[in-house]
Amino acid sequence: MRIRLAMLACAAALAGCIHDEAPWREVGGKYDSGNWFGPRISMALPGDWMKLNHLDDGLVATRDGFNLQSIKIRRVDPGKPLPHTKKTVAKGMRPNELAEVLLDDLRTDGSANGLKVLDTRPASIAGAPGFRTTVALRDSFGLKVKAVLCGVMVDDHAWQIVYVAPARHYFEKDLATFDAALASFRVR
Amino acid sequence: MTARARCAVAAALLVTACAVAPPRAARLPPVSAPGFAMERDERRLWREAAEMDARARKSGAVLEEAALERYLLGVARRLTPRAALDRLEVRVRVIESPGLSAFVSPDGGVFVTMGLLARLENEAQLAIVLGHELVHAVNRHAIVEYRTFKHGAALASALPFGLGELGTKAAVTGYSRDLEREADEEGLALVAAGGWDVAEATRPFEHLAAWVKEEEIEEPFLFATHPRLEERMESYRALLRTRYAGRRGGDLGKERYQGAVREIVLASARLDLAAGRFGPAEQGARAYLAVRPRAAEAHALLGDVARQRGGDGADAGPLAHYRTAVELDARCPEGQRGLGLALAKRNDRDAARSALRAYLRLSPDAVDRAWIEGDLAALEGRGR
Repeated sequence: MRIRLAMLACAAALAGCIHDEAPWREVGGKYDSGNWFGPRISMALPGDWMKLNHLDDGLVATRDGFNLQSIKIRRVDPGKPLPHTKKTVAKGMRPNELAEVLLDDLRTDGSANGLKVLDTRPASIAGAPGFRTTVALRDSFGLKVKAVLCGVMVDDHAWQIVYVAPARHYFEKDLATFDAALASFRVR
Repeated sequence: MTARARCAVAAALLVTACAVAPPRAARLPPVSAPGFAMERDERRLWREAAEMDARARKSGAVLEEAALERYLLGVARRLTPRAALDRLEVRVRVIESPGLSAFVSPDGGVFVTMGLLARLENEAQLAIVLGHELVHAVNRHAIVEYRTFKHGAALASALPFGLGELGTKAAVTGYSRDLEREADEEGLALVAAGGWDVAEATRPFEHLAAWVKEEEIEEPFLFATHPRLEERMESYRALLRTRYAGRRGGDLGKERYQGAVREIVLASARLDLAAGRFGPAEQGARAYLAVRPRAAEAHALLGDVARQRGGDGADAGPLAHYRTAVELDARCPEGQRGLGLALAKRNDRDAARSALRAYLRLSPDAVDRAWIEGDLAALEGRGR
């Protein structure tokens, strides 16, 4: 009984040690979801970028702060509800159909006002046919922001990769960083 | 936070507030009363309302459509008692949302959504909504609610464009039952005095009830939260049976209204489509066609609805709508685009190419040019 209790105490302590309590942590050059089960994603980011901890799925990363620039990755499972639109992603969707659904999800977000599509085109992402859409909008405080919304279907999952930054100065400043990160995005 | 989550938060706050409702604060004379003077805390509410208005406009959530604002303001001014007009900052803002909501700030700023404007059928119904909201401002309901519930939780941060934290809470979550009834009763009196047809009184609530059913939500969180919809309709029916029993006719203002909000109907239908609400999107497009039967863009929108909705006749349905759009107006880019893509899906290569080329000619700066050029390359066997 004493051994069992000691083992339980050790397990609890170990769980405590390996659990990252800090809300943010440096990405350390390359983010790897390290999933033991399910699809595993990776993306190279500059060493000074930080990632948000305690996310169940995907990545939220920034260098100077969430409001100044961010790169977000989320997995979108076919048939599962999206945060804003009632449309859903379906298996086997073509890139332009996926673009339509994910863009409409952003368009329906109550905090994204006056959304205007600046450009939308096919793009190869993680070695698969996807899309890249650039939009301009105002956030709920009226700040003009620009976003690059990308998406791709890999096997049975869709992946959404978004870069968002204030339209003035910051968007252009880190666009090249985002492009490099996007080119390094992999799903295994 | 999603709209649904906001509704849940608002409902939870309201339920909490009702459960521990403190005694009602003393009523104040209306702003139209002689010798009206704003009280100190009320001044603060008004300042917040002005800030909220500025934030709303800056956020891009409010539609900038001068002609429409002028029309709505005209109806609001026709409703507002003269003495109150001198003291309130009466204005009407249209929120770019397909939902059905309306609320008023303490200083007389009415906010109404595109979705609600799109569903109302005539000016009399609009007057009923605006009249109800304006009574809250004229009778200073916000300050009464603020004083009654000032220790209640602030909802403001959860709402669009950061509404102020004080009396605006009541404005957007709905007022107490007695104040809502007062707004129903006196609002309808303003409608009658303005010469509109009071028989339309329950229609805005019927639209709300239909929306609540479509959206599968328990109650809309703005405009009609409290008392519940059915109670509100019954209160109007009782007024029509009693006070307005002998009153027949009145100004409906149907054509005037439909002319003013026509483009809102189509824009709201597009927002509904983006939100995946195919039924309301189709209804909106058809409502627009009822006013402009030869509007190619509305037929193209019906094609988009049919294409995205899928189901039986997933190919034939949209194709017929796009064909109609192009037959009505060959210069309709949305029609040509939809037609080209629908024909490409059917492998009708020549016709698809022709339509897609027409689309690119009509929209030289099309944001989706790269997609369409890719489709054209595939149709021409150049691969993609």
